[in-house]
Amino acid sequence: MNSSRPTTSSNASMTPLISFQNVSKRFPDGGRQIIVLDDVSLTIEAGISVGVYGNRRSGKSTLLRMAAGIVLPDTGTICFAGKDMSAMSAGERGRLLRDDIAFMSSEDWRAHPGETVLDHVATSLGSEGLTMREARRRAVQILDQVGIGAAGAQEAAASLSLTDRTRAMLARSLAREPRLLVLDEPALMPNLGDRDRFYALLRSAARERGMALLVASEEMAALQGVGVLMSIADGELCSTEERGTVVNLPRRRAAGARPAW
Amino acid sequence: MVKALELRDLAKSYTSGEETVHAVDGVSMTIRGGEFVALYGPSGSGKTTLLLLAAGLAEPDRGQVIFDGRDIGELSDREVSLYRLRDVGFVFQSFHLMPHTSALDNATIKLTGGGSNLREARRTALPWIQRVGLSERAAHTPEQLSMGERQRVAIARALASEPQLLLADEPTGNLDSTRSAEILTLMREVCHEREIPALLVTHDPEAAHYVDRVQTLKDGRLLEGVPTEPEPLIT
Amino acid sequence: MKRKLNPRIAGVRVSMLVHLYRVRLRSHAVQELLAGSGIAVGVALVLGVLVANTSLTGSAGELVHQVVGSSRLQLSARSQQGFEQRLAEDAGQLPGVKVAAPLLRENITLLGPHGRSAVQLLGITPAALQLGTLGAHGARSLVSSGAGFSGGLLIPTSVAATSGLEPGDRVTVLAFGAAHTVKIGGVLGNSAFGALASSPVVLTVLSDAQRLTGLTQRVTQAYVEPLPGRDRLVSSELHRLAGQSLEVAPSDHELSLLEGAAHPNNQSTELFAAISVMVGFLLALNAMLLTVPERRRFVADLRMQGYDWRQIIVLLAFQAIVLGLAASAVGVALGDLLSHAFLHRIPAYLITAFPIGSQEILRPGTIAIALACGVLATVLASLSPALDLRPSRPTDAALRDREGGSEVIGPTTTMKATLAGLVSVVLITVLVLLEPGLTIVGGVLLALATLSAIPGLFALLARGLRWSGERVRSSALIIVVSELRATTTRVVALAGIAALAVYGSVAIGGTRDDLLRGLDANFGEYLQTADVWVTTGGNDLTTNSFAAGGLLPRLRALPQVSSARSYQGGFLDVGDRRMWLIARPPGDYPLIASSQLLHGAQGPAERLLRKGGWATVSGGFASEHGLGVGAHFTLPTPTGPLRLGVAAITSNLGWAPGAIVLNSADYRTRWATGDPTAFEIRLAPGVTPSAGSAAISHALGNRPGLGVQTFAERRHQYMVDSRQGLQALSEIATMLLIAAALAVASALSAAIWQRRARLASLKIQGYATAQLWRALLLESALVLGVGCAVGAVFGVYGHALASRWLRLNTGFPAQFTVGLPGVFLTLALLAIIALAVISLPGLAAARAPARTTFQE
Repeated sequence: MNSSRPTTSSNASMTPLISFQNVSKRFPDGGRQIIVLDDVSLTIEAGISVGVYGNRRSGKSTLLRMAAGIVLPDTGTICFAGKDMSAMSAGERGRLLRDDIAFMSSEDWRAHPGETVLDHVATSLGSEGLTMREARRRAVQILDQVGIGAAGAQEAAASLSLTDRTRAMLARSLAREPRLLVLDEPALMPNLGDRDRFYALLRSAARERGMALLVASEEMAALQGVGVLMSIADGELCSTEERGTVVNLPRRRAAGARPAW
Repeated sequence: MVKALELRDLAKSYTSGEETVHAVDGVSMTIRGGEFVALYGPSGSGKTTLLLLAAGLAEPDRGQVIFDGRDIGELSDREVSLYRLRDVGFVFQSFHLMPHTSALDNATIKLTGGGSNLREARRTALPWIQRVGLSERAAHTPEQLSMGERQRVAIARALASEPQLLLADEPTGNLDSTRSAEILTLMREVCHEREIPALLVTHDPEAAHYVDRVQTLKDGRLLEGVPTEPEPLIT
Repeated sequence: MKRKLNPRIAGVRVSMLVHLYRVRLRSHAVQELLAGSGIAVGVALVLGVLVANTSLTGSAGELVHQVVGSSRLQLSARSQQGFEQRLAEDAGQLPGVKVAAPLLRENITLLGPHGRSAVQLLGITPAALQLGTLGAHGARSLVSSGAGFSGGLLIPTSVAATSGLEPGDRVTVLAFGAAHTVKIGGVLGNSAFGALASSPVVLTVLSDAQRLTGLTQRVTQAYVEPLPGRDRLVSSELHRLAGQSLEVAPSDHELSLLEGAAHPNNQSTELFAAISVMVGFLLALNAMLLTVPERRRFVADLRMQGYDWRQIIVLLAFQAIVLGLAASAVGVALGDLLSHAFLHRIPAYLITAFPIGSQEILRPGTIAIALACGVLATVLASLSPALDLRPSRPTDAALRDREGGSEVIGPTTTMKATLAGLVSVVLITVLVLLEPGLTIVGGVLLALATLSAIPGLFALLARGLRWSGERVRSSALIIVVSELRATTTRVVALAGIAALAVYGSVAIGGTRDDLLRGLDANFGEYLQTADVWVTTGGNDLTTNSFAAGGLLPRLRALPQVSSARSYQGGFLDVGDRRMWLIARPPGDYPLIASSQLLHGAQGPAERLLRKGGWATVSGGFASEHGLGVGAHFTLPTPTGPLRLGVAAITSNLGWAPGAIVLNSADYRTRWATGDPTAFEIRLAPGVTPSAGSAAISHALGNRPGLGVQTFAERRHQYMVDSRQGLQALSEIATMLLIAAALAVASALSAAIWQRRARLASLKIQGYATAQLWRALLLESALVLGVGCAVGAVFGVYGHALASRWLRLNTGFPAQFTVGLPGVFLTLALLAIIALAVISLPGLAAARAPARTTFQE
């Protein structure tokens, strides 16, 4: 099925925060190339939240990493605030991650043994030229906003529970007050109550800051409450629907079909 | 003769820090020869632990693993190694192939480990490389193969020693939907043809379409049937 | 408001950089420690060898400058017998001379409670004070009456320690074959004596020195300080005064002489230093490479948090410099310890001719070079995560890269490296054949070629293993092959460490053995002219004379003695060479050691020598003066120039500056002395050497000043001396091997440890722990084996080149022989240490629980 051009725009004259135009990406896999993203287009306005539903290997992580400027497209253009990311210097794209975009993936969790949660969040602020003391002061506020109090901030980051780890990652992402927060499979939490509280926290944080949100997950629950819901399968961004409509799940081959080899 | 894998009231817990995690907590199940069973469960539900117990790689706190009438817990270290070498075929999520080694040679690993020289082992493994559809790419190294092809090599490796039991840990976890379908089909065929028990640990919902029976592990305990769809939505 | 200084670099606060490094230190203490210790060992090696390379001439330099003080010219004697003190006093009266200080310098032996010490006796006068000679305090306490000095000898702390003498003790002094008893007037330490405190030198007033040596009213030197700007006038005046029988030279002329003598030694340490620097560099580099995967993830994480590339570079460089400096500082301290423990022994043969102290000279420049090496290696290795900063790489690549290994060397690179290695070996060979003087450079280049051969050998090895794997039933082979086929930079660096260490050890060790064999043969022939030698004893190349006073007829009268001859020898400064003079009695057979003959025939040459007016000269001297067999040359002597014909050209007879053999009759007349430096005695048929030497000792009245040695005893002494000079090198070579073995072992262990997940997956396939362990040991042995084999082959080649260089350029009698036992010993040492160290972590990794597979 063909993707129409998904858009969240209500006012076409405004420059969208981020826009994909006919973006494709291939990765080498063994001796061949596999298409990870196939002619994807989408736009996200400032302050809007977008959810992408898709299975593993569906291309959603690549979509998200591109939105954060981590990976560049093979063809097509991605513009952030009207600027073509492919045309930016490496330094400029690096600074996007400092000033405008935060990327968070539960896979990327990496804390030094022996580091406190507070310091883990504070060191991420070093790129802004803060002293450790200034960075800690800011980190305390942010941690408090994500529900980690003074006692929790002094715990060792490496031994956090899954739930607190996700909160700490969110704190790190929010600390630099991004305009766009990109979350890849944000919360693999065993406890459903914790998970729901996390999403509620995420939504309110986005609302308060007027921050745009791009979330991808293979769990439908993670995408509740987003403004726009899309789904992706085998590199194709399949549907874009306004809030409240039914989402087309990606179709899969019927059980038992023999593969072509 | 058809051999069966039987798990009797298995329990295994770990302590991490001050917490005690009951990874497997009183699981009993039987997988008959020729039966392909999928075991579902969220991350951290103890699926992998259950596989390790079945392969004799971890000792249960309680209960028994019986294969072909033998209690694996009673075997000596050397006998457990032999059990894995001769009876168990194991497929991993991240393949664990030998780097810079051809697909064919990778498929010989269990045979050389069992005492064959490489030439003999290749003769035995080649039909399996053909069977998984890699005749053309037998000389390619993992670095030159796609993810799906790598998993097929891993399956050929597991099968080349003609195992009596197939265990798979998220074999489609790193594959896209088309490759996943291919791998699951292949596993099902082998399980049925050779009439061996096969246990697939996964959280790919599609896998349910390929197996004979589905079980779900939650907090270390076994539930019948497919996992329920996402919890009621919160508005 | 008070603001603390906290600058930013590339927008990051320095305090933040410090904090980030503290985090790293806390969380990865073990890796940092491993890396740091690798760097430290490397730097220690570099420093140790650099110190060894400079300490010899460096310490002598300080000593000479202390002795000569502010003087700029010297008048010196051409023999031990010196010249009349009056001449030195006359020199003081010459126009333009500010001060002239006479000095008597002779080799003597002290008999202390702990044994004999061979030292140089310096007799000085108050004039020395005006030159600032010998450390003002030492000289003043000696010559000025007010300091409470009551005569006797002043000894430095080092001599006090070795001889066991204390102030007030009475000590027996052996000089010119006679014994005297003197009081120890005092012991002078560093503060008073400076470099002299650690030198084999004793001080006394000139008159006492003359009394002890029997050289009444004679001196050997006069140090002269001209008035400012009058140097040329004074020099010509001194030449006039010296006439034909004395030398006029710059005061520190002895330094150039020493440099000439120590040159071959220095050059071989230079080669070794270069190799050690490379090994040290690789050790440090490799230690850092081990931390790279983890550092890459750290960097990727920070980049995802908005650190830009400049900030990342600053961060990496900062951490590398901190670690590099800290580890290098430890390395410098370690290297200093190393050199104190092993390098302070000065080759005995040099002490004979020069007053060399054992002071270590740790120059700021040396420390700077060692530090720079360590920091450079650390920075280079730690910048490799910066490769992830390439714009084409995804920002979070390292976070997702599960392999995390170092770069694989492809077949093209392997091919290129092998070709480059081959080409450079050919080039080196051509270069060294054309110009043997470039051998040191060749040796260093050869070490580099050693490294380039390694990837190719790995490729060959993997192929060979596969071939055998097809035929041999081995579970280990296929595992090993798959690891070896992925020849990573790290594996090459590991094998490279082994290769360089083996290369250095084999090349240096082999050359040393050649040299020793040559020297043994040489001195054997040199000494075989007598059954029993009577000398003043000591390690003196038979150059210290003694008063014969009717001893020879007494010996000849003994029934055990068939013949007794008087041998004379000494040193003579010709240009920048302190030549060894061997004046043999015509009755010696042979006069010329046939194995040392380079040009000329033995028979005719001996006839010419016996006739007189002819001499043999060593190759270096001959080519410097353009002499061939049959040519004539002039030697300066105490009685004016002596014209001699070249009867034959020889090796340097074991003395680096060169040797001249002449007839003792010529020597006696032209050096105006009949004092022998040895009696050569042939025993009557049927008399055993020990019986003969006992009878001779008895006949000499057991004079303590004279030593009686059988041929075997004296040869043994020479053998010990030639080995002692090369001892330090052998010791560093061994330590280099041990350090390399430990480094390779720890790095291999760490690499094996990182593979636990893959090993555990093999266990799930049914491999037993023992099978995996065997595979790991086999793999380690092969990595080591490749390094060792390459190192050994190149080492033997380097050894051949070095022996050739010794023979051609230095005139030492070194004949190339492949010392296989030595090579195997080297290899075995390295392999045993490394495998022993690896076996335990190897076992631990092989026992990794299966769960590891799932915990990537």
